[in-house]
Amino acid sequence: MKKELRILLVDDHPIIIEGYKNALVAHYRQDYELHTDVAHNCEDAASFIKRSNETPYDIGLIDINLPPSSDGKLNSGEDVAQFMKKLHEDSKVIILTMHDETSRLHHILEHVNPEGFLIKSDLSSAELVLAFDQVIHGKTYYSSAVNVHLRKMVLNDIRLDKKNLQILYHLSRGVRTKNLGEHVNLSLSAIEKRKTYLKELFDMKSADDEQLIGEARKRGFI
Amino acid sequence: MGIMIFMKTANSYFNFYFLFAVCMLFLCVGCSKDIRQNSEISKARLDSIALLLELPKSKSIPKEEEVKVLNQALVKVTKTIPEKDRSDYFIVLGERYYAIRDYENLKITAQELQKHAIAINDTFGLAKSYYNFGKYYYSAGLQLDSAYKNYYKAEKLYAGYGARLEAGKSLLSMGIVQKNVKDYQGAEESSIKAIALFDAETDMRLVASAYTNLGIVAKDTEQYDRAIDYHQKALGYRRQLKDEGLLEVSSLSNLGVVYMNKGDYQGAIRYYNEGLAYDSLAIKSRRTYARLLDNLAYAKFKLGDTDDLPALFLTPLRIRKDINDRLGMITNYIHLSEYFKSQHEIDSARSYAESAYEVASELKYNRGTLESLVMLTEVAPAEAAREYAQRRMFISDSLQRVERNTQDQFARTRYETDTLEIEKEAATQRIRLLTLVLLAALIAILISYIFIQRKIGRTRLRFQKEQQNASEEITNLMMEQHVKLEEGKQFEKHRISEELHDGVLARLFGIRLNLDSLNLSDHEDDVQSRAKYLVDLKDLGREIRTISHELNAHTFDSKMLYVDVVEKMIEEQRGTLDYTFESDSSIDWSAVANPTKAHLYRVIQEGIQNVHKHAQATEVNVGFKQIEKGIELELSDNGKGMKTSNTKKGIGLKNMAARVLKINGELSLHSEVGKGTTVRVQFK
Repeated sequence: MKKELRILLVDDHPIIIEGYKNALVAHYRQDYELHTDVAHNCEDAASFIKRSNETPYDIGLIDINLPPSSDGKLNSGEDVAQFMKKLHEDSKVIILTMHDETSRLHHILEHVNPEGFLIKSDLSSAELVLAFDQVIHGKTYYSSAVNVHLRKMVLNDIRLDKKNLQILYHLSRGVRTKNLGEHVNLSLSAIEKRKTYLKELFDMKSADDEQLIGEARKRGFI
Repeated sequence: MGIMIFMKTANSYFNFYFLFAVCMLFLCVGCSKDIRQNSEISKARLDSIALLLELPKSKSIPKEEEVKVLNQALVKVTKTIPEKDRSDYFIVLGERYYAIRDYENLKITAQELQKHAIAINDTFGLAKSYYNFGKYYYSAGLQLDSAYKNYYKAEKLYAGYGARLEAGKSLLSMGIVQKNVKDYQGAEESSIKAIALFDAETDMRLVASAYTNLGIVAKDTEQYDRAIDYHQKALGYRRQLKDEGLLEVSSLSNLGVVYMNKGDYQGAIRYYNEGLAYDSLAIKSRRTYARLLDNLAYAKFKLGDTDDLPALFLTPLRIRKDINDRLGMITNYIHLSEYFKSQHEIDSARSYAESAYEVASELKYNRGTLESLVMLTEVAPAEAAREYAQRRMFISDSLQRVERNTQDQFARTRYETDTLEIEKEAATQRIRLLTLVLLAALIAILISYIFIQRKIGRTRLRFQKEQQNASEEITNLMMEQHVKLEEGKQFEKHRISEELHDGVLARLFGIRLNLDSLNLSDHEDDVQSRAKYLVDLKDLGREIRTISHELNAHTFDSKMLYVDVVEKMIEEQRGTLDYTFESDSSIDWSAVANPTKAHLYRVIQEGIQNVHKHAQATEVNVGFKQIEKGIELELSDNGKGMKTSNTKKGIGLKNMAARVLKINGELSLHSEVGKGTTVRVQFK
């Protein structure tokens, strides 16, 4: 009798789900009896997780960009992953995302600490299977972009909190300082103080916003 | 419009100078006065005139020769001297002719002087000509009424210009004329007036003459004490004069005559002797010497002191005959006649009386004629005496008549001249008033003109400022909107990037992943699956094209800016109103001037406020249309409407109308009760 493998696939694009299935089925068809549940948003994902109390998922493949739940508690794949880990700490999580921005990677690593972390843009079916294989055998697998980032993080002795990272992120998007408050929920003077702090931190007191962003990008905060 | 104002201004400047010139002209006419400011001809001028005309020093040559020289000079003046300068020459020559008693030539100079003085508006010259005419009529013709008339005119002119000395001289001359026709009251008045005009310090000679005249008047009216008083005063002044003393002697003689009339013969003799005691009087003035001697002899005769008589009468008679002093001779003959009558030598008495009568008749010297006739009636035989008496009566009557007539003439002269004067004064007043009114009007015009100029200037300045403000305002609005748009662009970019990222890339990844895993399989199902993914790829391509198209469609056209600004404003202003906003894309907003844009912006703003305030509408529609004549703005609501016919324009509508006027647009209002209101603005 083949061993049962319970998998939760969370992605808002059906074609991607199809891709996962195709890749996994092709590879594990002989060795495992695959049981897959598919969720296209946070809400569905959460209800699958809740319902699986008796037989928790062995592994969840979770996208980051997801339609939020109607109660507003779960807003992204991060939240779904955290929720899953909280309910079943044995469940493994592979994050698959299109995002490769440093701050997002950083955040995900910090808050979810997934067993697998794959960037979709450089992912092939072979690598997916490889990562899946590693994770179900209790190892971790990060795609190379994540590894590069991790190395940067280790080398970098500066730690930035979430708000500072957000400020840098929005600034890099072209948001003006006076409108930053709408995005990071801080007063204008608080934002100005943080910007000054960041410039001091990067040892570039008289720099303008552009230089600040350039430096932050170089240091891997964006 | 600006250019029009400028042109108007330039034109106005021309007008301004024109007005100014006219004004100055008026001022000049108003203030035109005599060319001569002083009645006196300066000493230097006198000398230069004498030199130019080569006049000899007076009294240095015989009379005949001097007449010749003066006549030559007169011809020279009319030939060589420019007309406007001739007045002074005629004055100088007149003086010289008068000095040598050439009265006819004095008259000629006076005529010339008058002609030129009138021609060049020389009041003083004119006055002088009247004065000289007076002198002529008095001295030569004994036409006393004409003399008086001319003196009177001279006096008026001089007095009008405050020439006190000349006015006084004229008055004195008038006084003398008046005395001679026995207008004693008038004579006294004129003389006293003359004294008041003279300066007691510098015009002593004239003051003395005036007192002398008063003395004679007093004597003739038998007020002997006053007469003595006047003559003493005259003597006092004459004693202060540093001259040959002839005038003093004259005063002494006058005093003697007063004493004679008074009956105080001793007193008279005392004064006569005092006069005769003057140094070399017999040489200096034989005329005066003879008179004193004659008078002395007469006084002695009256006193009864007949020792030196009749020799004392005969010496002066000889002198008088010698110098042809015919007036003196008449008196002398009468005195002799009286003397011989007292000596009962009737024939001699009659003979002298006849001689006196003869000379007096010849001279037409009425007073002498009368006196000689009185003598003749006393010394002639009875029949002849009656005839003489009749003639005396007749002459006396006619003389009185003439005197009365002359006195009347004086009064008439005064009346006529004064009337003329009053009329002239009235005319002058009228002219002055007219000038004043004209000047006031001109000044008023000037002031209002300047005021209007300044107002135009201010309006233009304000207009420019408004234009500038409007430009700034619209620029600011545009800038503001531009910034917002920039941000909008950023977010739009972000949105598209997300769409690409999460949609396209995600699907691409999905397809890739599927194809990847199906790649090696040649299973029938899988082949079909691959075909499906190829279709997906095609779809994806279409989606990318759609995004790309969207990107293009959302290209932020700068032409849209103004419309965006307007829509933003409408959005802010609308409150609870629903609104529509449309703008023809064919409108080239970049060709519309900024002030126009600003005004339109405010018109729409004002219009929406009006809708809020008055219309009770739920909906407002704003639209820009490209029309043949330019652009049309239409602003309509679905409110309660109003009667357009009898609606007074509210402030809001007025403001809109004012703005529309500024952009040279046309505003029309269409409304009916219950059918909403539509405002249309058409402009280029």
